[in-house]
Amino acid sequence: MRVLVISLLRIGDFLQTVPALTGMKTQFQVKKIDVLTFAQVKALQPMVADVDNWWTLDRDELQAGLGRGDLPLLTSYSVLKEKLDEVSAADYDCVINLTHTRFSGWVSGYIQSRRRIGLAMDGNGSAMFHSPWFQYLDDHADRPGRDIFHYTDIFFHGCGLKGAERIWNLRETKRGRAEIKDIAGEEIIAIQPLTSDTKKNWGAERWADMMTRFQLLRPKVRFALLCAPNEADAVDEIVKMSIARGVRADKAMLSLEGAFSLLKRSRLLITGDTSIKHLAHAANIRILELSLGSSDWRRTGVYRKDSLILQPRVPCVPCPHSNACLRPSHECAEQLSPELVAASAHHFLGDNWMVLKQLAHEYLKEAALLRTFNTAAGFWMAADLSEARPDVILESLVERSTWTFLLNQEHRTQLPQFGSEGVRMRNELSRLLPREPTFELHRHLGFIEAEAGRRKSEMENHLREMKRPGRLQGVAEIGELRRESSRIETSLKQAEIKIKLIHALKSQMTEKA
Amino acid sequence: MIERVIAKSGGTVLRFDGRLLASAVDPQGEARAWASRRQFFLSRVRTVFILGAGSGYHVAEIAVNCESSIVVLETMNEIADQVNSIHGFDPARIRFEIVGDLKGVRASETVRKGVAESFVVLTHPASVQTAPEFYRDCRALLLGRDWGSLNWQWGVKGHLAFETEPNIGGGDGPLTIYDLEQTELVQDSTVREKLLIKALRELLK
Repeated sequence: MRVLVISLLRIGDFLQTVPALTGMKTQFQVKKIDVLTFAQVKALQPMVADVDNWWTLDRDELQAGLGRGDLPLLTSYSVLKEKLDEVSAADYDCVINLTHTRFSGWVSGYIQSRRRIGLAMDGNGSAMFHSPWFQYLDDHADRPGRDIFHYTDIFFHGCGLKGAERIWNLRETKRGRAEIKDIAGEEIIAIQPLTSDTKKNWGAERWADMMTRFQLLRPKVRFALLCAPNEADAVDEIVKMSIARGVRADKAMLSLEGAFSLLKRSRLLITGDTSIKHLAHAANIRILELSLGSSDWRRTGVYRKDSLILQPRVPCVPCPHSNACLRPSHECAEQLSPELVAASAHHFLGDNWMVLKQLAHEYLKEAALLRTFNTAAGFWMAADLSEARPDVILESLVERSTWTFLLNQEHRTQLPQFGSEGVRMRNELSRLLPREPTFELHRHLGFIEAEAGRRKSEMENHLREMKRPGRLQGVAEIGELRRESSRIETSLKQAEIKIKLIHALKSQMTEKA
Repeated sequence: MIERVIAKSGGTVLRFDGRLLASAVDPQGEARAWASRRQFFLSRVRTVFILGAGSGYHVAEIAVNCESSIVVLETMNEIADQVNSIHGFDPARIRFEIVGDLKGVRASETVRKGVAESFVVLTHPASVQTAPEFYRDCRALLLGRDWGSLNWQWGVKGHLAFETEPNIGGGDGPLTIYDLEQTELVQDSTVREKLLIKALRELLK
C-alpha cells in the first residue's frame, strides 16, 4: 500500500504528524509513505525515518507569482498543476490530509487517489472529511481555549490507528553532530527565545533576567540560545544583554539537524510555542513551555509526558492566531515573571513536583503551571498543578472517553467495549486522584450523568420538533435541516455514550471497593 | 548596423546602431547582477522566455542558473547569429525565435509549446531598446495580465477559451487570480482546474 500524507503548514505542524506516520508503517504495514509539504519543511528530511519521498510546494513563490506584476498570471497555476499532476501520477492508494486548511483541502481534492482521509474539497466547494476525527477537528477548529484533543492524537486516530503508543521517530545525523562539536558544558540549557509570532514572544529583557536568576540557582549551567538565521540579530541582543549580567550564554544558530543534536545533549529546553519543542520531544529531554499569546497548549502543547507548561492567567489567552494583540501592552508576556520561570525550571530539572505544586499555589494569580501526562488510553492531557478539583479532572476524563468512543465509531460495533473503557477510566482515576474518596467520585459522576441525561432529553425534543410535518418552508431549508439534524443526532449519541460510560465506570469503582 | 566590440574584461559584446547590447566593461558581471534579480520560479518552470538576445551573456547566465528550456525572442536574425557565434549555445537547450510582430509570436510553435506549460518571461533592457513597442507588447502577451493575452494563453494551455470578458472589478488594472476565479470559463471548465484556482486564491488570504 502506498500512501501520500499532505502536511501543508509549518515545521512544527509536520512534527506533530510523526507518530501517525510511524503508526501507519507499524500497524498497517504501509510500504511507502510519501509526503507533500511546503519547501521549508523538507529541512527535516534527513531526520524523519518513516518518509520515503518528499514532494514540496514553494509557498512564497506561488504567492509571489500571484501578486507580482512582472510574473505571468498563470505561472503559479501551471507550476502548481504540473507538480500536483506529477503527484497524482504516482498513483497512491490513499491520500491523507493532516493539515486542515482550505488550501490543503483544494490540493487534496485535486490529487487523484482511490481513497482519501481528512479534508478534501470538491468542485462545488463542499468539504469532505472522510473520518469523524477530522469532522471533529473542523467543528472545534475556531474555538481557542476549549478542551479538545491534542492535534497529535487527532491525526493518529484520524488515520484509523489504534492504541496508546505514540512514537516520535526522529534520527540524529552526522551533520547535526558536526554542527555542535564546539558546544560544550556540564549542564547545557537550550533556550528557544523567539517564535514565529511576536504575540508568542516573551521579550529579550525577560529572557536575560530569567537566565540571570536561573544561573544563581544552578551555577554550572550554560545557556545555548537557538535561532534561525533570520532571528540572529534579535538573539545576539539577548546574548549581549545576558553576558553583561555575567550569564554564560551563547548564540546557537543551527540547522534543524544541529538543533536536534544540541537538544539531545541538553538537560532542559525552555521555549515558547515553537517547532523546537516538538523536536525536543524526540530528543528525550525535559521541556518547559511558555504558552503565550495565541499559543493553545490544549491542541499543540508539548506532547512529552511530565513536561511543564506555564501559561499566564490573563483573560485573553489564547488569542486568535490571525489578529494582532489588541491589548494596550503585551499583558500575557508581562504577567509571566522571570522569577517564576527560573524557579520553575530549577525545580523541574530536579524533578521536584511537590515544590512545583507549591509554586503553582504561590503564583496562583500570575500563571498556571501545568503538568503533561498521557492517559492509559494514550491521550495527551495537561493538569493544572494548583487545581485540586477532582470534578474537573473526572469530567475531562469522561468527556475524552466519550469522544473517543464516538469518533472511533466504537458504539456501532456489535459488542461495544464500554466495560473495558470503564476499567481504563478507573485505573486512570486511581493514578490521578489516588486520595479522592470513592463516594465523592460517585457524587461527581452522578452530577455529570444528570447533566448528560438533561442533554439527551433536550436533543430528543429537538429531533422530534424537526421531524414535525410542515416544518420545511422551502427546498433551500432541506440542506440546512439535514446538517442541523446530523449535529443534533451526534449530540444525542454523545450523551447516550457518556451515560453508558459513567455506568461502566461506576460499576468498576463499586467492584473495586 | 551590428558591430563587435571587445569589452574591458575581454569578452565580445555587440553594438547595434551605436547602442551597446551589453556592458563594454564587464558583460559577465552585468549579466550575473541581472540574473540575480530574476530568480523567481527559475528552478521550477519548464520554459524561460527571454526578450532580446543582447550580447548573449544574460542568456548564458540564466542557462547556468536553471535547467529549464530557454527561448530567446529576438527581432533580428543577424543579432541571434552573432550571439550564437560568440557563445556557441546548444540549440537543444537554447532556442532563438526570430519574430517581428505579435502574430508571429502567437503562431510560433516553440512559443506555444512553452506557453502550454509553466514559464516565466525575462526582459533584457538593452535589447528592448532595439524594438521597444514590439517587446512591450510581447511582454504583455506573455504576462497574461490583460484579458486578450490571458484568453490566448488559456486556450494554448488546452482549455476552452473564455466566452465572456471577466468583469475586472469594474477597473482597468491588471488581472488577478480573483478575476480568473470569477470567469465563466473557470466555473464551467472541468472541476479539477477550478480546484487549482481555488487553492491559489487561498494563498492570498
